Amino acid sequence: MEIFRIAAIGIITALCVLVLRENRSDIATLIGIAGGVIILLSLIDYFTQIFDFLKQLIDKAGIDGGVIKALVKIVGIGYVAEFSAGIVEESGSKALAEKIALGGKVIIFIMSIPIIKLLFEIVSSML
Amino acid sequence: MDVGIIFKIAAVGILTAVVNQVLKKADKDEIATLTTLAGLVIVLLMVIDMIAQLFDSLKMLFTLY
Repeated sequence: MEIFRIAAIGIITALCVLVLRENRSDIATLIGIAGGVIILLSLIDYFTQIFDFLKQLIDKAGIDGGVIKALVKIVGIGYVAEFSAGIVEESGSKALAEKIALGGKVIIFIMSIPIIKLLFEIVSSML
Repeated sequence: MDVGIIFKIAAVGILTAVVNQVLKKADKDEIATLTTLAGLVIVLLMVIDMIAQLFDSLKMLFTLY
């Protein structure tokens, strides 16, 4: 089962971080990052299956593709920002992590402007 | 892309720590700092390569390009 593999990788990574924490804390954080990346890479193909299924549902429902594409992009940007903010925060610099998160929020807001415009057009056309 | 990479990185870390101690005892401190840097650079290259691979697959997945 995949979950055992992920749990094993996580535990082993945590132990390696503990081993190297006191005399080589820089390599310890790098091992933490590497463990996180390995777990994520093993989850990527599950994500692709989920997204394909969602696309089929959306095509059946006949929703406009442009909005969905922007939504998927926003989810992606949000996830990358959260992932890198977590790495930076784990390595100790909290203020920097907040700045990355702020950058992610700003980019997401910029990308959602056309969707908001679309919403206003729809609402105003109904009134 | 499995646990092996984590063991490799941990091995490089432990190796540099040991070499560091040995060189410090032989009072060659400047070489000790160099080996520390070398170990760090090797580990950095490995991890950055993995992160690049992750970001590429995320780019494909979320059509972020």
